[in-house]
This record gives sequence, structure tokens and C-alpha cells, in this order.
Amino acid sequence: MKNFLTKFFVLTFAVCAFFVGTISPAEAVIVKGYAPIVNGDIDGAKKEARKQAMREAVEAAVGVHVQSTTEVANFMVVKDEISLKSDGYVNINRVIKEEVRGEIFYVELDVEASAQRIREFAQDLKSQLDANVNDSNSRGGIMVAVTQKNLSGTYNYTPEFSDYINAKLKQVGLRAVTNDNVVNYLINNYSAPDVRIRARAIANQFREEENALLRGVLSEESVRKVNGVYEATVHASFELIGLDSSEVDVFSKFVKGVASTQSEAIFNAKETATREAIDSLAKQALETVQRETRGGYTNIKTTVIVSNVTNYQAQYPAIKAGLANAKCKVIRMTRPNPTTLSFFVSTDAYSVIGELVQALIDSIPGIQQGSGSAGDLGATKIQLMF
Amino acid sequence: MKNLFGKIFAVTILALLVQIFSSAVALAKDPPRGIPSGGKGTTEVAAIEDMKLSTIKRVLAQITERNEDENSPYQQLVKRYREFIAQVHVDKKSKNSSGAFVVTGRIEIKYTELQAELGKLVKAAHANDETREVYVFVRFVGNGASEEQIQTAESVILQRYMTRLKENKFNVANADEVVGELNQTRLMNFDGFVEFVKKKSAENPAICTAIVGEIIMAKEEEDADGFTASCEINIRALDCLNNFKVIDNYEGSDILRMKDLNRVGRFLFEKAAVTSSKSITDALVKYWSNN
Repeated sequence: MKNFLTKFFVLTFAVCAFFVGTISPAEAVIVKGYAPIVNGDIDGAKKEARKQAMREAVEAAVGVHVQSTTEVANFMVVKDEISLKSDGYVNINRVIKEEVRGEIFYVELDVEASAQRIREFAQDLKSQLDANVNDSNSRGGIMVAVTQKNLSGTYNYTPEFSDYINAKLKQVGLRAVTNDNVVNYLINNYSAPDVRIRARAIANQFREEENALLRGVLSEESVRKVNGVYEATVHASFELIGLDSSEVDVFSKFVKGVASTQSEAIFNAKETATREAIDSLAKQALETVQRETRGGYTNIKTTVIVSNVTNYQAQYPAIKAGLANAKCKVIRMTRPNPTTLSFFVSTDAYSVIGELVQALIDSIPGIQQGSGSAGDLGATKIQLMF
Repeated sequence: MKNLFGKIFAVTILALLVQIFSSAVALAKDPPRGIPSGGKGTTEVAAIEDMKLSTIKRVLAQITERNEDENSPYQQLVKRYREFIAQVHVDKKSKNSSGAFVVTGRIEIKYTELQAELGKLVKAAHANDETREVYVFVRFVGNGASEEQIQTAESVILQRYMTRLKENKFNVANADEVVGELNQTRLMNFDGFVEFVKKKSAENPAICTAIVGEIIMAKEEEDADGFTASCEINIRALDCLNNFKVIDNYEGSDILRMKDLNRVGRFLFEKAAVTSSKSITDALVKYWSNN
């Protein structure tokens, strides 16, 4: 009997000693994450699956009590940030399961999430975003025009995703704004094949201080069931294009999302696609903005179209001299028709196009502002006429 | 009693050892860092240097053209390969049958620095700052593809070109007034399409350098092992400042076999875009550095 008791005691103690570091605290939650294995990259899929589980943990900790689209968008950013730097916000107590299921990587984690710290982080983020939109320190103004296409081919406009994009851009100091005219145009014309091109013309017409447009579409391509879960593929096609210039930063990629329901899988794919797109475009945009405002000067590159050139021999030299006086360097000149001359010029002597237009009118004898239509496609063009 | 405490002590130590072992196993499962690589030489040091050099060459080959010209950005960076090595992990050392030292392992490189240095060298090679905007008009000609599918494919092609061009410090531009009319060019042959872009370029003087071309996809063929996709590529880079002088002409074809019908076509045209963009961009760098 004594021997039995001794053995029982030893065994109990050993089991306790072994599990003392791994027993979950009462507030711990079990979260799951899935990620597609793309091109055999198991390590990458494992990382993504863990991130997805972390996002679930954040949601589980603070609950989804948010109401407005801006709150939804900000919460998406909070999840992005915390899934990248989980320390102190979400701690992994134990990896319950980590396995490859065909083309999917699956993780199940026992985690402990600090709701208070996450709420504090969300509050800090809101303040940071508000500070970043301060006109004095923002790097550039971007209008956002992004639509979505579902599996049945129907287009729609979802403000949450636009707000999510705005918040992500604000994080890097780019001043993202939603213009009601552009949004209304998108809502009323989302199925038109050239809606993105026309949206730029509308943006140009109603812009305030913005200098670029982020236009794009998130298209649901397919959903299939793989190993008991749903895998959705979304094509993200985004372009960040100048309003005055035609410089463009592009993101085009097929992105997959996995979840236990079809709608969650689609949402995950869209969220991942948007996140990747904005991370990539924001980085490129910062370079473009730096180039456009090199050394504190605004680099304007634009097209000057002069019509009613009825006496080429006399008027062409006058235009050339006027452009030089206005500190414009002519890069290329074309003659689209016998009475029109087009010049592609660059200058860093002005901060806005309007100042350049006035300088040209003052420098070229007999010239006046022409009649370009506000709805013209493409980059800003200066229309002048004799 | 003494025996009992001895047993408790032993079991506790055992439990701790098991935990330490589990942590070590978990740590070992973390993916190793760096690019798998190998090298050989007359000494162990030489073999490691060879491993470093071959890794940098491989990475450079992904972002620029292998070039024998000593003054090319590729050769200049190859000479400075040591600057871009962050860490060397040697996993295995041995001697081969001919007595040479052989090492295998992983090399961690300073990719951002390497890319930035490449950018600087390429930018320095650009003679004229104004010509750095490149307009890309590469159309997708698909067998039975809808206008929407064509536009999706064209955005993927544009992305691949943009990546390559930006790595070489060109700026990519997009002329909406031309892109909006591309659907009118679907029935044109290649020469007709090139003429269309030239005409549009005359109306829009901002288009100084244009990449015009097409990737023509044939219908996928099915056999017992899967699907075969094939395509033809025809791309032309034009200097619109100099009477549309042809800077480079890329003509080729490609073929790809996969089991998945949905992926084979997409992979092939992306591959075609990557291959052609590399060749065309390298030609642009060379051209503008000499003109």
C-alpha cells in the first residue's frame, strides 16, 4: 500500500510539473487559422495561417461591437497591426494543431488576448490616423474609387473597403479622401466597362487638393471546397494614378482566402488582397510623391495644347519663346492636325498647374485659355488658343 | 522517505528535460533563414566565397540581365558581392572525388541594399531624365476570352512590366485616352495595333517611350497527363521622340504543361510577360544610356 501511494504521489507530481507551464488560463481562447499553400511555400502558408488565427483572437477578445463603416475599417487595420506584432496583445499559450491538409495549412492555437491593451491600441491608432490627415504634414492627397464584383458578375460599391483603404493610406501619411461625386459616379455606373477610366475624369473635375486617384476592382473569381473548408480566389486590380500626371503604380494579383464558410473565405481573400495591394501601392506612392516634389519643388510635367494655329511660321516660334519665358522645358512636340500643336513640357517653377497656365497666357502674345472639356480623359492638359 | 524525495527529484528533472527538449524541437522546426546555396574551391574559405558569389549572381539574375560588359550594373554589383552578404550558414563541408572543398548551406543577403544599389547604377546610366516615363500597351489576345477577362489579363501584364521597369528606375505611365479605346483594336492585326498606338502618340506628346505588343494565347490542349498551353509573344519598344525608332523587338513563343486547366493559361501569360519585360527593359536601359 505504502509503495502504491508513493508511486501515485510521484506520478501526480510529475504530471503537474510537466503541464505547469502549458495549462491555459481561464480567459484563454482557442482560435483557428487557414491559409492556402501557394507554389509549395509551406512556411509562408504557416505564417499566414497564424496571422489569420491572431486576427480571430483580436475579434474574440474585443468582440465586434463596431457600427459605422469607419469603425469597421479601423478595426480591420487594428487586426492587421496586431497580427504582425502580437507581443503583449495576443500571446500563444499552446499550439494545439499545425498541419498541412492538402493545399491548405491549418493551425489551431490556444491564445490569451488582452482586450484592454487591444482597445488602447485601437484608440492610439485612431489618434494617429487623425494626426496624419492634418494638412500640414500629409504627403499627398489621394481619392479612392474601388468597386467590387461578386461571383454572379454583379458589381457593387462597399464603403467598408474604401474606408479600410483610406485608413491604411493614412497610416503612411498619405491623405486619403472619399469624394461624394466620384462615389456616386461609381455607384451609378459600376458595371460600365470603362468606369475606372471615367472615374478619373470625374475625380479631376471635382478634386480639391488631391493629386492622385486610387481606382480598382476586387473581383470574386471562384470558390471551391477543399478538405472540408472553402477556398476563394479574388483578383485585385488596383491602380494609383496621378490626376495631373499619368504616372501609375499598379497592383494586380490573384489572391486566395480560406475559411470554414464560403462568405468568410471570400471576405478573407478580399481583405488579404486589399491589404497586400495597399501595402505595395503606398510604398510606391511615397516614391512617386518624393519624385513629384523633388528638393522641395513641385515637378510639373504636363501637356500644353495650342489650337487655332493658323500661321505656323509666325506662331510656332512665338509659342516656343513663350514656353521658355515661362520656364518650361519642351520634351516633345507633335502636330495632331494642321492647326493644333501639342507640347509635353516639364517645369519646377510653379506649385500648381493654375499658376503655370497664367504664366503661359502672360508669356505668349495673343494667346488665351482654350476650351478643353472638364470630362476629358487622361492627365490634366492645358488648353490654349489663339 | 529519502527514497521518495530522490524519486520526486529525478522525475522533476526528467519533466524539465522533456520541456527543454520540446522547446528545442519547436525551435528547430522554425524555417531556416537564407537562400540555399553551395560552393567549391581549393580551400574551405574559397568554397565559402564561391557560395557567396553564386548566390549574389543568382539574385541579380532575377532583377536584371546577366551582362558580360564590365561596365554593366550587373558586373559592377557582382564585383562588390561581399557588400551584400548579411550572414553565411554552412550546413555541410566535404571534399569531392577530385579533392576540391565543397560546402553547402544558406546565405542571408541584404536584398534591399542590393536592389537600391542596382537602382542607383541604372539611374546613373540614364542619360536623359525626361525619358523615364514608359507607356505600356501590351494587349492580351485570348482564345474566346471576354472583354472583361482580357482587361484582367492586361492588368496582370501591366503589373509585371511595371515591376521590371521600376526596378530599373523607369516610371510607368498610363494614358487613359488610349487605354479607353483599346477595345476598338481587338480585331486589328499586330501591325495595325502598332500604327494605332503611334497615331495616339501623335495626339498625346507625353508618350515619349512606348512598349507596344501582344501575347497571343492558343487554346489549351488536353492529354492524359494534363493540359498544355502555348502562346506567342510580340513586343516592340518605340522611341516616340525619334520618329518611332524601334528600340527593341521581342519575338518568341512559350509553352507550359500543368494538371490544372484554370491555372495553366494564367501562369503562361504571366511567365511570358515576365520574360519579355526583362528583355525589353534591359534594351531600354542600354538604349537610353547611349542616346
